Amino acid sequence: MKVKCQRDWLLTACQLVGVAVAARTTKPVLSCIKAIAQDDALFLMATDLEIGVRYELRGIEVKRAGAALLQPNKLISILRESSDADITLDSDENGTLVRTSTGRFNLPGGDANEFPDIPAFDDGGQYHEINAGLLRSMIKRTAFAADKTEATARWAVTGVLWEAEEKKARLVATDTRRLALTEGVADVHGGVKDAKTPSHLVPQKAVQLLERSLADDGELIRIVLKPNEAMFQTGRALIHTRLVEGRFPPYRDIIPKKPGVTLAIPTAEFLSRVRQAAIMTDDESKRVEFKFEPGKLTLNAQGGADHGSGEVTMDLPDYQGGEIDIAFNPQYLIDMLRAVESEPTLTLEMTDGQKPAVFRLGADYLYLVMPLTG
Amino acid sequence: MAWERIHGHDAIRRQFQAAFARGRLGHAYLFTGPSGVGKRLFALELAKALLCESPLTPLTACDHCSSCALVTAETHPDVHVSRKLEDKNEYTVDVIAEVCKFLQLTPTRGTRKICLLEDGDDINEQSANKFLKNLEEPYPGTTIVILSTSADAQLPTIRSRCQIVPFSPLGAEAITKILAENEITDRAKADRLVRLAGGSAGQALALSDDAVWDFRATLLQALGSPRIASAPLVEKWSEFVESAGKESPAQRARASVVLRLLADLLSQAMRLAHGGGGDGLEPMEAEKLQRFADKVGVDGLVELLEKCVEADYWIDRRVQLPLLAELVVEKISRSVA
Repeated sequence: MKVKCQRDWLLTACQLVGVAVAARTTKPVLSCIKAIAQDDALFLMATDLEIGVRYELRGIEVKRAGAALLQPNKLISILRESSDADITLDSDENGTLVRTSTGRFNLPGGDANEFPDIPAFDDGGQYHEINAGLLRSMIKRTAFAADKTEATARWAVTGVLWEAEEKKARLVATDTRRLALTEGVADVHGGVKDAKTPSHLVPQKAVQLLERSLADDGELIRIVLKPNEAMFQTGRALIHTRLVEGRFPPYRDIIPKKPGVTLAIPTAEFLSRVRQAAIMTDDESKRVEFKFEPGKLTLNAQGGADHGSGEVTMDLPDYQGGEIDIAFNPQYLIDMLRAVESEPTLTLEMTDGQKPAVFRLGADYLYLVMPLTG
Repeated sequence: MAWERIHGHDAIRRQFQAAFARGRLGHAYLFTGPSGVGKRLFALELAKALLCESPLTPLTACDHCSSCALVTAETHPDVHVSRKLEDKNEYTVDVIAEVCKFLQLTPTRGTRKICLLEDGDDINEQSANKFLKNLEEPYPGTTIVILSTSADAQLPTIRSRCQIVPFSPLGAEAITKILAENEITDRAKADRLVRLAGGSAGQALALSDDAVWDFRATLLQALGSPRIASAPLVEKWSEFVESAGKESPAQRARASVVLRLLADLLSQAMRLAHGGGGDGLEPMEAEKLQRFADKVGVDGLVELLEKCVEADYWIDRRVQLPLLAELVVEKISRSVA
């Protein structure tokens, strides 16, 4: 393979693809980026066998088509240190020669056939498109609620459930103590899945990588959900991921249908009060008592014997409902409130201190959190 | 090549092919048998056959498709090969967590995924507990293979969840073929390696190094001498073991080979002590061993053989190798004195 391409293009591509390079692996080939040159394009790909990224650089001068393995760290350093407009990569079975106007760098290579290729984007006529800005917001508001402990008994909840329906896409995440659900407008092509299709549980790692890859708010992201894989085509790259096996809990069943009380909560003020109250919790209790009464909310935190206690109040002039005593892990509220910080108010629905509380943002966002009992 | 590269286990191959044809392939297998008989090779060939994109016949890999190339390179996304960390005695929980993670993700290139655990003897209870749920009920299309020296070495919780596939030591013909494939065609050398290998092609190949035979001559020289000076022999032993490489596994494998050589010499001495002939020994070698056997006696030889077995056990338990050399050489030296 021999190509001549613009240095800054290649640098950007290597940096983006480099995030999928396996961090610690016993397989040296997976610590490399695979480059394939053909026609006027250079394809760069990296994978850790769970997720893969494929990046396409067009308008490349391909002097000799072929494939090569490139060491990302060294190559990125060379590209960063050089000030040339163009750079040449010349690869053979022994390695790659990187040529700049002032230097020659020999990078060791490897057998490119040992590298598992990232498949090209294939929508098979069934895909949906979401605006990048909206998708970023949807991911930000849900992914944090997925289970991060990777406990063996409930792996399914380590993924983010991704569903596409007519004209909308839905993301749901839960760790069984809280659940975040968001819906957004999507342009669905080729029909929607039927009830027999297994759930598409996208690993958190893939969702986070996708969020980081969304650059321009206006671009449309094309998403394909297949039984065993998901693909996300952004303007710059294709992200490919395997899915998490298993069945996602029947989340619709746990969302309360008829709440006892509904009240509006000012987001920023509520976040501030919860954070203040959380100061006095300790690692063991992680508990803040919320007392809702007409016109007022009182938050009480009581740590262990030597930890002290705290009380924080907040005015709720519009609340004229009955008294409700309910306790939450404050971190569960802080995580959600940070994700929706830009919204002025939230709606809170509660029944009593034993039943789940639901925060809503219009019809498109729901965050359910289980109260602490006992 | 496909299955032809697996020697001596045709019956097991046929058993798998029959189960595959009937759609009765199990989800978890425990391959048991001595090390070096081809369990790992068989498991990888099985993975290749299961994932091959254009199999020649059912459960026979084509060896040409990209899937076969990736399995051979051990970079197939649907094959996970797991082993304990080099500096650990046992499978740590985080290594098993990686296994669990693999088993919880969908396959990418097809509908099957294969997980191979190489050091099955070293799965401790804590790691096993983390893994049992996956082992008992993996998702459809999953095949788990655990390699072990013996079913008894497994925790009952693992054993009961796997189909046990015993791999026997290889016959002389199979080992000779494997040696020939590794360009060891000298008949006398091959016969000697086959005899020493104890049914393990891995041991036969490890013993084929000329340096091993040079060291065997050193051992033989020491055994045949009237007095055995411990310190120089321990030093030579340690130097030879360290020459295997900087890495601990290579040195431990070499230490195991040394013990096998010594055990073979002691067995030959035992045979001579009982009036038998030396099997494959040259006259000079037989003479030295006869002298040694006369001095030590049958009971002494039995004790020395037991010491070799004990030392071999400790190799796997990460005892410092120079200490093991000292332990064995001191015992020999005292026996002669």
